[in-house]
Amino acid sequence: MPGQGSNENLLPGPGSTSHSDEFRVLFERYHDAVFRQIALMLGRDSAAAEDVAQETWLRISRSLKTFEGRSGFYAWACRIASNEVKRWWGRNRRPTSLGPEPSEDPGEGRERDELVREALRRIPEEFRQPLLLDLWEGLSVAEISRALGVPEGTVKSRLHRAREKFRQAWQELQ
Amino acid sequence: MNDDFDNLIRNAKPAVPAGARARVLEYVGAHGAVASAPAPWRVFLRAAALVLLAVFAGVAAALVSRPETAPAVDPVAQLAADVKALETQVAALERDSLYEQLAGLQAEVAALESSRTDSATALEQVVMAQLEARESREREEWRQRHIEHMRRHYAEEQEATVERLRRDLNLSAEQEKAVRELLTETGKQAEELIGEVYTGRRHRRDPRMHDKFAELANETEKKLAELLNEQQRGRMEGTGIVSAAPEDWAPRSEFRDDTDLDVWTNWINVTRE
Repeated sequence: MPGQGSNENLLPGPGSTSHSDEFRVLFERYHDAVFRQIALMLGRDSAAAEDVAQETWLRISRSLKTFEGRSGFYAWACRIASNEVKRWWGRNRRPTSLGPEPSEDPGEGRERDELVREALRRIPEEFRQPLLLDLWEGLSVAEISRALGVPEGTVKSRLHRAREKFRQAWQELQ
Repeated sequence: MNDDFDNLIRNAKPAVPAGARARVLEYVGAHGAVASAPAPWRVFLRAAALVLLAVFAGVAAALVSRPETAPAVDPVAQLAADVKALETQVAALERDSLYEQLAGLQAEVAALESSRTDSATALEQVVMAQLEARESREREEWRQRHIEHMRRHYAEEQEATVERLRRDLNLSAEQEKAVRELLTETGKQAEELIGEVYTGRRHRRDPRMHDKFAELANETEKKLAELLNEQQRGRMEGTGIVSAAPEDWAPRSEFRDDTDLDVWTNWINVTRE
């Protein structure tokens, strides 16, 4: 779980020796969170999400030395992931409507989860990111603030508005 | 309600497949791109430079070992000059390579993206300030409407209450006057409590609002009892002349347009925490 129960910074401190060390630390911390963002954006099976995750981290490793830390690493990584998702859709024909993925075991709970993810996809990214860091990754407001590189007050207002937007999207889907 | 939605979202969290981390690391490693690891072209250039150096060293050694017929050029100086020339060529290749140009462009893009994020934050702060100002204006409007509603309806209810007490408890004229004054005073205090709802932002509202209304109701009942004789008190016990529930002081159907319902529902939710 990225940043759970810690006060660590986004990048390793001065004691770290190379981009390779930084990459390892960031990878361990943010892999799962970035993966779940990709899975949500794709709305497809985990194999596709894994392909996109591999390309995303490859690009991150190549560009890490140009990352200056002005915005939060997680926000930066999500922008790269978003671009990779678009490339993936370019290589694979995009459906006319991004509905729930056909399931081998279409239970009621699974259908509801797909509806929830569809509602989440309808929330603008700037509001969705803090909401998912809160509810999926269990980060505190302070940790979300560091991960996204925005003030804590902004995180709180975005969380509040994200919940309102989710409620609207959810009601539209009912 | 928020907790229900939060649980819905938590339950929809996608699973990360077992071994996904290891496969990503393997993929990144296989493509030779863990951060600052040298690019393949750079490794090739270094190897080529070493080979050339070795060739020149061999040539130089041959020149040194030749008899007096060799040219009058100092072979060591020649070798140093050649090495220097090679270093210059390698540096030029590194400086002018597409890879370095791309890295420069990526740095510029990253800087532009960062400044765009700063602008977005500043814009959001301006928008939030405007939203708060508008909410403040609307709050005052809602407060006025709520108080007007209370005054209109409470006056009618007050008269009905006095009428009921006069009939049930056989109030004297003096008692009736005192009861009317007591209910008027209670109405003013309820207005003040309602007014407090609209003075702060929603999340700063007093969570003890229900307790305050219960206290007001108890106080009114106690004062009323003091105005009655013992026989009247026995008959009045448990009649509940003033509601202890703030919901009963709320606007009813005529206020139930979307906006006001939202305000009212929020207030009820907050004060029940």
